[in-house]
Amino acid sequence: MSEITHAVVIENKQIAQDTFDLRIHSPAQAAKAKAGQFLGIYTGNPAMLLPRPLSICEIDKPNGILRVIYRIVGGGTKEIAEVAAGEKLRILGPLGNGYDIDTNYRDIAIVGGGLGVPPLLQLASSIRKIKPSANIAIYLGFRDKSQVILEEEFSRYDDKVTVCTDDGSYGVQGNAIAALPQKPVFDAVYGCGPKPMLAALAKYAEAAGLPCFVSVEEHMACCVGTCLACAVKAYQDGGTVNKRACYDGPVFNAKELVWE
Amino acid sequence: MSINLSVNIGGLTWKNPVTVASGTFGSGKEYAQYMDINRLGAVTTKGVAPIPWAGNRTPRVAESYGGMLNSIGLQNPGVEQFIANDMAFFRDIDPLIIVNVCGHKIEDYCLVARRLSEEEGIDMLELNISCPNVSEGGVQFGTDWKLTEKVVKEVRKVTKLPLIVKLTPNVTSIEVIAKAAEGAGADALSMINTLFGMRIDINRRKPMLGNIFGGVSGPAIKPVALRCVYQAARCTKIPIIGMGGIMDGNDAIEFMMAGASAVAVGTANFANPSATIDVLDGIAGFMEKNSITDINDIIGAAL
Repeated sequence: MSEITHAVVIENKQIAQDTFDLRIHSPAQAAKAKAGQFLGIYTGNPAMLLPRPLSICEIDKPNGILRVIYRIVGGGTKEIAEVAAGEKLRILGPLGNGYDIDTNYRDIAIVGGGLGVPPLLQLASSIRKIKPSANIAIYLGFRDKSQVILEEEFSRYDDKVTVCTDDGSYGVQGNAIAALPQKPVFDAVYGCGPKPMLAALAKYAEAAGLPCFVSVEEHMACCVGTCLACAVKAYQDGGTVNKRACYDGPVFNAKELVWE
Repeated sequence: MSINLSVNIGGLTWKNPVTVASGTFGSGKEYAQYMDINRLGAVTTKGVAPIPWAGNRTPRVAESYGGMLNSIGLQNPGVEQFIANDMAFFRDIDPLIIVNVCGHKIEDYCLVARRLSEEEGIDMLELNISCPNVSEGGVQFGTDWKLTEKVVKEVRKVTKLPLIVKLTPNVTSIEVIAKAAEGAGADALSMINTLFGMRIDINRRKPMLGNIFGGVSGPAIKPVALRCVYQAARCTKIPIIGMGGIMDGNDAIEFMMAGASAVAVGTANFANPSATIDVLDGIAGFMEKNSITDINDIIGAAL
């Protein structure tokens, strides 16, 4: 049973341009959460009705803390950014399916772009915990230097994290997909980021015959699977159907999805 | 104080007047994880067509002040898959089941209505002639009184289930449409469907919705909905299920005083998954506070 709850804000600080790092105390949700799931976070403003779907960046089960990194993209996230430590946020979740980690994979690539990067931190941590011997190669892409986040924290799981920026203002110039080795040395790839990036990643994995799991983003209203706003086209029974990013996803096997 | 919350709609007794607005609650399975679905008077499902409909392109939703727009486009798996997916769940829960029926043509509505009537466990049908998001059919039937009359008459012939007709506010005179539906054999009216609207993303200089236009719902439209219910209640004798921005018990009471015999909670579910329960408790709370023992005593009180 999922729940609606009021979580106490522990910290809500700016870490990059328009980008905030939120930690909330929410033990019941933290106990259930897994990498790749998200929360529906409500603003305190009654004129804004819908929950904001924001991915979980880190899960601290012993302390009952969830971490969410989000960017101000509109009025709702602006309201959330104004919530101070000690105040409460109404949250729904954890929502969605999250990443399944197959312990047969030894060499794993994790590829993130922009605000798709945060949930991959928990994924790296979960993989490390479930399979300590796994080799994790991390590729992160950002628009420019001002958007780069979490590089140091990802280096806990890969001592040579590859950071790319579109304009070359930091790290390798270009997108994260271009930085992947031409001859893949992986057993599986995991990704989260904008659709074009995920499409390119799916193509890369398909060409190499690698399993590829991606977390997709769509506009949502309910966040729980009823409203059918977040349609994602997927193959099924020889045809295509619309799956729900919020409920059937957000993580999909890339070969299930129609990349157009 | 003991209070009576039961109301009669289309010859059926609802244990209380609270249902959900079609399309905001799926078939109920998902929200049943967040609230006690068995407390509802009725569950109203997402629209069902004869064959699967893929719906519109994304983005399909946008927020607006005190409301939202949607252009889902009645995505649904078709009547056979709907039955396969959801009938067992419906038979397992206590509320009455109202299935929302949609179509492009009159034959579509008839086909779905006939097929659903064969199933044990469906209590009422709601004819969706008011969706603004499909290019063919839908709202065309709800904006022309002659077509309203025609589709209701034809569906009336193929089902014995009580028939609710869901009306659009996007008309010059809702009274004309309401009377046409009543005259053609509707057992009840539900109103209102969404208002036709749009939003623009000023950074991209483009409409926010993939479908350009969508339907506005939420508390922002409540005064329009109340006006429609009030007007329809004055000129028809059949019960009305009122909806449009109901967020709490007081909103529901307002609709009932305007002439609604029951209420549907829609967009509020997204703002609060237990909104229906809050509305139900709020209605009971209002009655107790005001020493009203029978909910039927306030229906149409403001007319």
